[in-house]
Amino acid sequence: MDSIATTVDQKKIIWLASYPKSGNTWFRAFLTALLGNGDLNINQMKTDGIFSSRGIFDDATDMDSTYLLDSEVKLLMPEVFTHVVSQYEKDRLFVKIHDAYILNEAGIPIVPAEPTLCALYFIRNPLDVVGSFANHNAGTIDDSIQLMNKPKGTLAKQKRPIGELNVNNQFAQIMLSWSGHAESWTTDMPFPVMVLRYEDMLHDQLNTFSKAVAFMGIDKTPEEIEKALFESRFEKLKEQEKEKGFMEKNRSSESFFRSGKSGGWVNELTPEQIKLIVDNHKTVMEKYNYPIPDLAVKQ
Amino acid sequence: MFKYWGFGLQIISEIEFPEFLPAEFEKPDLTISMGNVPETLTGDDTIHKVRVSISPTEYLQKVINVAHYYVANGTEIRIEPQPGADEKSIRLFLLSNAMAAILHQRNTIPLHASAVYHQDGVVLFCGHSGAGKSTIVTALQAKGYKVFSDDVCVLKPAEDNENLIVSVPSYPMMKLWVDSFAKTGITMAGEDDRLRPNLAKYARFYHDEYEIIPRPIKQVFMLDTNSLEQQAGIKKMASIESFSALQRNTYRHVQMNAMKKRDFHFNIVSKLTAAVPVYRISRPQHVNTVNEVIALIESNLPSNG
Repeated sequence: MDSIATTVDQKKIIWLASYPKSGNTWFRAFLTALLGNGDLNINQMKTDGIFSSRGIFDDATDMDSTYLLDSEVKLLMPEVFTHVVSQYEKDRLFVKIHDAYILNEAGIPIVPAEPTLCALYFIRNPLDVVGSFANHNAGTIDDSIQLMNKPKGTLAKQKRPIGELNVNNQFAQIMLSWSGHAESWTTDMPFPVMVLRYEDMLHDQLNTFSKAVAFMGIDKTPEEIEKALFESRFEKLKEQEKEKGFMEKNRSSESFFRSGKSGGWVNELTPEQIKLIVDNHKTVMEKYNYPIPDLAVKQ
Repeated sequence: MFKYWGFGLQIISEIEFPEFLPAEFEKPDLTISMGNVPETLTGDDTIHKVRVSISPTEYLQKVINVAHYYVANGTEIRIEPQPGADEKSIRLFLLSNAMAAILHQRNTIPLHASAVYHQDGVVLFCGHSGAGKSTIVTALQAKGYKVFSDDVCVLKPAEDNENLIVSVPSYPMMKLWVDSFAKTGITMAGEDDRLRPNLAKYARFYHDEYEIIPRPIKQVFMLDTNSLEQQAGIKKMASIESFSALQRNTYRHVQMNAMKKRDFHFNIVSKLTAAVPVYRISRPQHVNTVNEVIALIESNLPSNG
């Protein structure tokens, strides 16, 4: 008998998928508090890593993945996460992912359906993502807009004058554009996907989080959910970051948790910047009920 | 057939390895051949992972689009190249994974470390790929230090003293990421020197000044890129901390666990940490701190005399 099963005996993975800065980390903090009866240390989240983790990949393949090309890594990703579920006794794995739901060179989705239970897709008004993303990258608003509008936008890609290094602890993540990302995760999916609007997570909190908890098949009372929400409230996350730092923060950025609000774009973006976002993402914005600003009004 | 010395072993190979040191001998320790490999490994003690199976005596790895490698009993590597694979890639994955399996099977420890000579022994620089091992060794070489080994050093007890842990070099080739050339001021490698097509890491041979004699370890520096400061810092590590850091830097620690070598490793690494000071050098990832790190290393080397 083999000591480790190679086939998937159970669908276990719940993908926490999003474009960056759309509530993913907040939700993981909430889950940590929910599953840990209120305990939350932002540097010890109880979720199960990120899809793009080099450590998870190297451990599953016994490869030194710095020798692999990114296209080779993406060929193996479905097998890696199918293998990962066989390594755990617990029946749910929460895996964060910023990659778009795309195909690898073999024409197979990089995210395997076989071990997948379901996915939550977090979406946030792109006009608010811009400023938060710029803060995250310690870059400018215009840099963020450019990346969000780029059809093949990529996160954590290492550019050097000659070729690319390949030593980050995360692989490059192809995100497509902001709209492309959202559409990739919500069109013709082979597993159930629930879309959560960041704005609903803020303003219709208990209802929105309760729906997500039920969707994942986790049995918790409204009181337990409320307690977890209280323990993972934005002010507390920000306070913990201030006190102890946050290891998921980009090194050059000042803080990971910035304002956590919605609608801040009104004071952050110029009419030209707003137009660049709206022109590129109007269809998906309308689909998820984000009001299209009347550019004639704002000066 | 080609005859070489590499990783402390006498190697006879069906394919040419410009990386190894040519050697003459009667009896090989390791034979590298081409041929069909088993489709799978069986047996109760076999661990199956993604395209790799590991037992205490056998190792089978299928590197996508490159080759399948079968490694047995510390004495044999068989290669089954995949259609369209280039020779450099076939050699690169043999020199990393299959060789690591050979070394684990032979009860030696491949440590992820580069090293330079110091006094009557060597000083090791450990760290994951990208931590700066090869860059530091290249910078020290430019200052007159002699390179002992790059990327991997093999640890084993000395033949005449089982309590003394010595290091054996791997093979006379350094592997440098593209940015290391500018950081250390050496001439950029050519296109032919790429380790494999499209990979921004390059080979730099040093066969002419290479020695194969095992050397005692005088000191260990752990390199990491986790510093939140803008400059590099150094700290002496407590022995428990240095023990686990060394274990983490075992090359292919997945193999160590799957081959049930933890007790053996515990023994060797304990002897090493009991006898040798270990320092941690932390630097920020995206800042060129080569000169700072070299200064920290030099001011913390065991003093001469």
